[in-house]
Amino acid sequence: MAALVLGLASPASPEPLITESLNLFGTPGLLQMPSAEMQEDAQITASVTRIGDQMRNTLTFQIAPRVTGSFRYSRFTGYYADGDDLFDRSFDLKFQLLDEGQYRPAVAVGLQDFLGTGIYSGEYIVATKSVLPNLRVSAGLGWGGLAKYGGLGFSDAVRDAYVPGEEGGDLNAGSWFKGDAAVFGGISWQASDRLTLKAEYSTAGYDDEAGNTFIEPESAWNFGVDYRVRDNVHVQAAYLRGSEMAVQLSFSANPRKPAAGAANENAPLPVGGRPARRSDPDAWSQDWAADSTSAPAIRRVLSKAMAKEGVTLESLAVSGTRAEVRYRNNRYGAEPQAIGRTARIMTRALPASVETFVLVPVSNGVPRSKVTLKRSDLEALEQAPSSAILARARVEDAAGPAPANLVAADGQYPRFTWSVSPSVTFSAFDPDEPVRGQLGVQFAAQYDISPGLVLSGAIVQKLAGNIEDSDQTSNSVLQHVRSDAALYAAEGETAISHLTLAHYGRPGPDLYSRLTAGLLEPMFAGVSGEVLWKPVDSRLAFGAEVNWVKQRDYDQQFSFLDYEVVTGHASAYYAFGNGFHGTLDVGRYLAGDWGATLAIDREFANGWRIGAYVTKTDVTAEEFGEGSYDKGIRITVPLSYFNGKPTRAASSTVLRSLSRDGGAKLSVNGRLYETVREAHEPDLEASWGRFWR
Amino acid sequence: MMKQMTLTRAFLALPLALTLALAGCGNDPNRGAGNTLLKDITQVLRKTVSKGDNKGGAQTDAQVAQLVPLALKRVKGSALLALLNDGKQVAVLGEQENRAGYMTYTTTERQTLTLRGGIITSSRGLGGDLMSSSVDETARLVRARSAGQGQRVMRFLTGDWQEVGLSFACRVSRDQAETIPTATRGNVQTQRMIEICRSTSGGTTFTNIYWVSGGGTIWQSRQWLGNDNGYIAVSLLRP
Repeated sequence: MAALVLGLASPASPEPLITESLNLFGTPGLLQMPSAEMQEDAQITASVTRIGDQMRNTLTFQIAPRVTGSFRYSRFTGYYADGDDLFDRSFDLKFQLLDEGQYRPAVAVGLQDFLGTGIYSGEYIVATKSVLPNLRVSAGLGWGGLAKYGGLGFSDAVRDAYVPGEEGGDLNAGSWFKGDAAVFGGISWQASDRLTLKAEYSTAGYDDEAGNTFIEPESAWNFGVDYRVRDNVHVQAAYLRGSEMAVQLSFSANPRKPAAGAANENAPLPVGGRPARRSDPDAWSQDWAADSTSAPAIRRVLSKAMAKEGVTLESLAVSGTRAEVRYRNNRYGAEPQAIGRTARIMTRALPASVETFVLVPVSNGVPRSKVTLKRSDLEALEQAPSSAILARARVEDAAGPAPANLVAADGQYPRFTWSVSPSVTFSAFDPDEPVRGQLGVQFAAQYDISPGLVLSGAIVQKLAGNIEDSDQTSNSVLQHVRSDAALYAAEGETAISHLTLAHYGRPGPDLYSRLTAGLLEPMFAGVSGEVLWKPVDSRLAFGAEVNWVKQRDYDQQFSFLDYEVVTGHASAYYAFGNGFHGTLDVGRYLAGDWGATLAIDREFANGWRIGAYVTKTDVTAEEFGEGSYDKGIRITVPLSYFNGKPTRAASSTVLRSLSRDGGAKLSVNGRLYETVREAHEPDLEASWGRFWR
Repeated sequence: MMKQMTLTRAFLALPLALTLALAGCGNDPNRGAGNTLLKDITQVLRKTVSKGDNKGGAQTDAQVAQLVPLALKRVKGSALLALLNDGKQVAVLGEQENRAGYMTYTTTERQTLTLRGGIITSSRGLGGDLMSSSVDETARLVRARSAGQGQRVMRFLTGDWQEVGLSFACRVSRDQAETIPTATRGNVQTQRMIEICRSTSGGTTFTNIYWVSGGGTIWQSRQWLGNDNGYIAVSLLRP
C-alpha cells in the first residue's frame, strides 16, 4: 500500500521538459534569454526574427531528447562604422543535464555562437521549473553576451573580443564561462492553448563595430506574447528594454509526424492460398518445371504484376521448389515493402510446389543482398506482427555466380531510359545576395548495356538565374577547384553535367566495386574507382576511392583547364543503431590538400536525415578564407513526407558557407555505400514494419 | 495445361468491385424508389458512424441503394458495404482472398479490409492503416452472443514506420435484440453486441457495435479502425 502511494506521488518522469515557444534567437526559451526547456525530440524549427536593426534566420534541431542544436544566419544593418551591414553565421548547442523532478527544476547548460569569437558568443546555466501546470519560472547565470548588463563583478578575466571579418570558425573554448557573469530570469505563462505570455529580466546585449549597443537599455525588463497560429506555426512579438520591438515567425516540422498525415497507397495483393496437399496432390506436382514454356510464362506474369507495384523484374530463376527473383525497387523508400509486395505476388503467381522464395534487390545491375523467405511462413504470418516474418527471413550476401537457370526478363538488358526534368541550383550566403539560384531543364539518358555496365549522361540547359551575377570573384590562393562556381554558371549555358561509362561489380564476398570514366561532374573529368567492404549484417563498412581528374573548362563541354590532380579517400561508415550514423573520410582533396571529413547524421526510417559535417585539411585558415575550414549542415527530406505517396524521391540540401577550395571533394555519381546499405540487414530491420504494407 | 490453370487462376480471381466514390451520379431519385430496403440499410449504417446529418457531398442513401445491386452483380462471392470518413465515403467491397480464416475484401480503388469472422483485423490503402490485429478473445464472445471480457491487440505504423501494437482491455456485453434488413437474406433477427475497449496504456477508448444473428454471422457493425480512420460502418451484403 505504501509503495502504491509512493508510486502515485512520484512525479519523476523520464521525459525532458519541452516547449514549442522559442526565444528571439530561435531556440527554446524566453525572449533574449534561454530557458532549460528542449523541443520535442527530432523537431526541426525554422524561424525569422526581426529585432530593430538585426535580422536572425535560425534553424533549430532537437538532435536528441536532451540536446538542441541551432544554426543561425544574421544580418546587422549598419553594423560597420561606414554604414555597411554585417552578415554573421553562428552555431548554438544546449544540453539538458537534469530532468525536472517534483521539487527539482530542469537544468540546462548552453553555448551560444560557440565557434570562434562570435558576435553573439555567450554561455549559460539555467534552471526551469513548472510551478503551476501552465506557469514556468526560469533563472540562470549568463556569461559573455548574456552578461552585458548586471554583471556580478566576481571575475575580471577578459574574454577574447569579437573581431568582425576575421576567418573565425574555431572552437574558442578558452573564453567559455570566462569573464563577468550575470543573473537573469523570467516566467512564461501558457494562458491558453494558443497564447503564451512571457516576462524576463534580461542581461543580454550586443554592440556594433563602434561599440554602440543595438538596443537602448531603458529597462532590464522584456515582455512578449507568443501565439500559435496553427500546428507548427507560431508568431511572437516582444517589447525589449523599454525601447525596441521584436517580431518572430516560426515554422516547425517533425520527421516522425508526416506533413501529409498518414501515407496512402494502393493496397498490396494478399497472400494467395494453396490447395491442401492431401485433397489436391496434383496441384503440388512439379511436372510443370519440366515444361520449357513454364518459366517464360511465369516471368511474364510476375513481371506484369510487379510493374504495377513499382518494382521491376530483372531476372528469374525458377525450379520445381525454388524461385529467385532479381528486382529493382523504383517506388518504395523502405526496401522491406518492395520485398513484402513482391513476395505476396509470388504466392499468387507460382505453382504450389515452389516453397523457397529468394528475393535479390539489384541496383546498377549488381545484387546487393539475398533475402530468403519460406512460402509457408508467408502464409502463416500474414496477420502476425512484422517481427514474426523478420525472424524467419534469412538475409545473406548475394556474391558469387548467378544460378545457372537465371534468365533476364524481356527488355531488361540492354535497356535505354531517358528523362526530362527541371533543374534547380541554389547558392547561399553570398553577402550581396543571400540566396542565388539557377533554373534550367535537364535532359538525361542512360543505357544499361549489360548488368553492371552503364552508359549515362545529362545536359542542363539554363533558363534563368543569377548565380553568375555574383561579383564575389574568387580571391582564393588555392587552385580554384570550387570557388569559380559563378564562372561555370555564366559560361555553361548548355552544360554537359556528366557523361560517363561505369562498371559496377562484386569482386568477392562482402566486396562491391565501381569504375567510372568520362565527364564525372560539372567541374571535373577523369577516372574514378571505388571499392567497398560491407558484410550484409554489419553496421560497419570501409571504402576506398581513388580518382585521377582534370578540371573542366567553364563552358562544361569537352575542353579542360590546366589542372589535374589525384584525389581520393579511405572511408569508414558506422550505423550506431539508434538512428545516428557516422562517416569518416581521410585522404587527399581536390586542391591537393590532405585531411579528413567527419560527418554525423541522425537518420529516420522514413528517409529524413539531418546532420552536420566538418572538414579539416592542411590548408591554413588564412589560405582557406572566410570560415577557416569547410563545415555545414545537411538535410534530406523525402517527398513522401509531404504527399503521402510511396516514392523514393527526396530533396537534399547542404547549408554551408560559399564554396571554398580547401577540403573540396569530387562529386561523382553512383557512390556505393548508400545504395548497398539499403538492402543490408541493419537498414532492412529499421523499416521492416512496412513489410506487410 | 496444369501450369496455365495455376497462373490464370491466381490473377483472374482478383474480384471486381465498385466504389461509389462520386456524388454526382444525379439520376432521377424516383428511379430507385423500389429498393427501399437498401436505402434502409444505408441509413442505419450512416447513423452508426455519422456525427451530424449527411452533409459534405456524400451520396444520398437513395443513390447508394441504386448502385448496390449493380455492384453485387459484378462482385463474385462475398461482398460488403462500408461507410468511411464519418459516413462521407461509401464503398462496396468484393471478396479478394479467403484464406486461413481471414477474408480480404477490396474496392476497385485497391483499398482493402480483412475480416476474421466479421471482425476487422486489418486495412490497406486507407492511410493510417491497421496493420494487423489479435482479436480472437473478444471475437469468440461476440459471435457466441455472450458477455465477457478479453484482450485485443491492434498494430499500426508510426510516422517513422515503426510497428507498434496497442493493447486493449475489452468488455463485451449484450444489448437489445433487433431485426435488421439485409441485402440478400431479407430481415434477419440479430442480437446487438457492444464491445468497449480501453487502451491498457491509458488514453484511447472505443466502442464497437455488432448485430449478430443466431448462427454467429455479423450482419452489420460499427468498428474502430484506429486514430486516423476512426469508425467504419460495415454491412454484410452477401455472406
